[in-house]
Amino acid sequence: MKRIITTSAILAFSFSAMASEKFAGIHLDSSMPSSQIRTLKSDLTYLYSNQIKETDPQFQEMAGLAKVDGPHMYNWIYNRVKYIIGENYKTYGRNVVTKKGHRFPSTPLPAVVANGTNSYGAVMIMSNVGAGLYLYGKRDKVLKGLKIDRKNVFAVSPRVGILQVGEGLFLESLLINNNMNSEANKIKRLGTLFHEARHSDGHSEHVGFHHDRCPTGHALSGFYACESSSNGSYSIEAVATKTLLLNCRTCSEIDKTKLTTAIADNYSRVVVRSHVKSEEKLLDEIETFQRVVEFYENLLATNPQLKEVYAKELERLKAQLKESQDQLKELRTPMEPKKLDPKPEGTFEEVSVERSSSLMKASVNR
Amino acid sequence: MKKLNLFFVVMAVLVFIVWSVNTKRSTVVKEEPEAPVKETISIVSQESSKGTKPSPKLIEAELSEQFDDYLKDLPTNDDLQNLTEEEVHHTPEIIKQGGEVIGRIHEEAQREPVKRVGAMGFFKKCAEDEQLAISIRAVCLHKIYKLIPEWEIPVPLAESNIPQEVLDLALKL
Repeated sequence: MKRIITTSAILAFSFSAMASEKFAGIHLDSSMPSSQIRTLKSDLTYLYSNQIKETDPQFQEMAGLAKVDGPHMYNWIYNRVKYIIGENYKTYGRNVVTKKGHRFPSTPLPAVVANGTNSYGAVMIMSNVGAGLYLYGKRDKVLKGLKIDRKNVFAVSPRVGILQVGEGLFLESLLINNNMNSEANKIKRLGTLFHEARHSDGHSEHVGFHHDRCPTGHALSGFYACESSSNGSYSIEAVATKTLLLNCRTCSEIDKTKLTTAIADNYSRVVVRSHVKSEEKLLDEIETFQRVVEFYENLLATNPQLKEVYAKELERLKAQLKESQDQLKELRTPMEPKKLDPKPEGTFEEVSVERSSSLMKASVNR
Repeated sequence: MKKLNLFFVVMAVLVFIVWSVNTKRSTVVKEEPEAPVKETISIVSQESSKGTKPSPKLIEAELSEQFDDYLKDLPTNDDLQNLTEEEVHHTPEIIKQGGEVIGRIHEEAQREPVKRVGAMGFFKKCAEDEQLAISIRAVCLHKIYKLIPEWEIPVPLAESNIPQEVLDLALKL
């Protein structure tokens, strides 16, 4: 009898730990540990019920919100996030479903996707799997989707809103302070959610507001961790975090500074120029290259027999000189990050604030 | 005789009037230079009660040392280059740790005013250090701009050491 009770208790416990849940209209998948589900539910409730008194002036315009308050902010998220799956969910193999014959919009693909570079996935903290499925489906001309809770969810638009949440979002070392449910930690996680939600937007070459390679001279040079638009994922994360931070009632000075550092980090990823060298440095470079090029040109003019040995080197130096000259020209031309049209492509339904609010209220009152 | 007496009375009244007018004038003249003195005293006493506004020489001396050891805990551009693609997608841990160092110094100095000059010195060095990550430098510069009027500590910045991008970023925060 004891054994039966113990087995039933274990089964009941494991069932509860593995159960999927729909909270405020968002499917929180059983592939997430129950503790993560609880935390996310609490974060979303915090966002919805936030009494916004102060806001970053850029936030309303960038997010296209009619009003900056909890229900409108939650609605913005809900229109872009419908499913959240756990880190252990395999986004390949038997979980992937496909359908042939789907007609994608005949808009061009972003270069990073057309060239096969993946700047969406492979991120442990959080990633927008839905946008990736839509784009690679469009590229391969096959509708792709995932089997979520025995239901086939096809990515007919980047707005399908499938996010994968990694352990990183909840890791103590990556949190703002040691209290998982503190306001500061909620704000950090919600900032990340705004970032990933933005990947559900955009059309044509900027579907998914993909990241760009950081330019030469940038601290993250070479990484796909920058953006050239003024309203992409890093920008929206910065202004959303700033707005929530302005309304934080319990953040300590350390919390505030850590969140401000994260905001600064996000802003620092918005780079329009193809380089970040100073004019003085470029002038120095140009002068150096010019002198060396001049030397080789004179050498080859007076010793034509050396052409074979040094011609390649001369070409390389000339190319470097030109690059520096081009960069100087670009630097002297005023440039601002471009605002991209966030309107998504494909099939999707825009949910009203009233609808998302009623879904939230029903979940909170349950 | 009566006329003489009346003359003396009138003279006495006139002398009294002239004397009283002169006395009032000299009082006004005396009060004028006193007014700014009173104002200065009130400011000085306010400062000394706060105990936060040191002399410029003291600022220079203290700016250089107190929190210097913590500068090495701040992330550099080289540190960022050593991270993986996965680690840099969202704000890296080392950047957040740098934020914690800056926040702790701010909090400590907020609690203990005697440490404020040293904290400002730390923020100045951090903002001007070209090796440090730009987001960290911007947060330090942001602190300086925010705290100069609050703590009433002047911090002379070497403009040439602060590039436009750090300044722009600091003003966005």
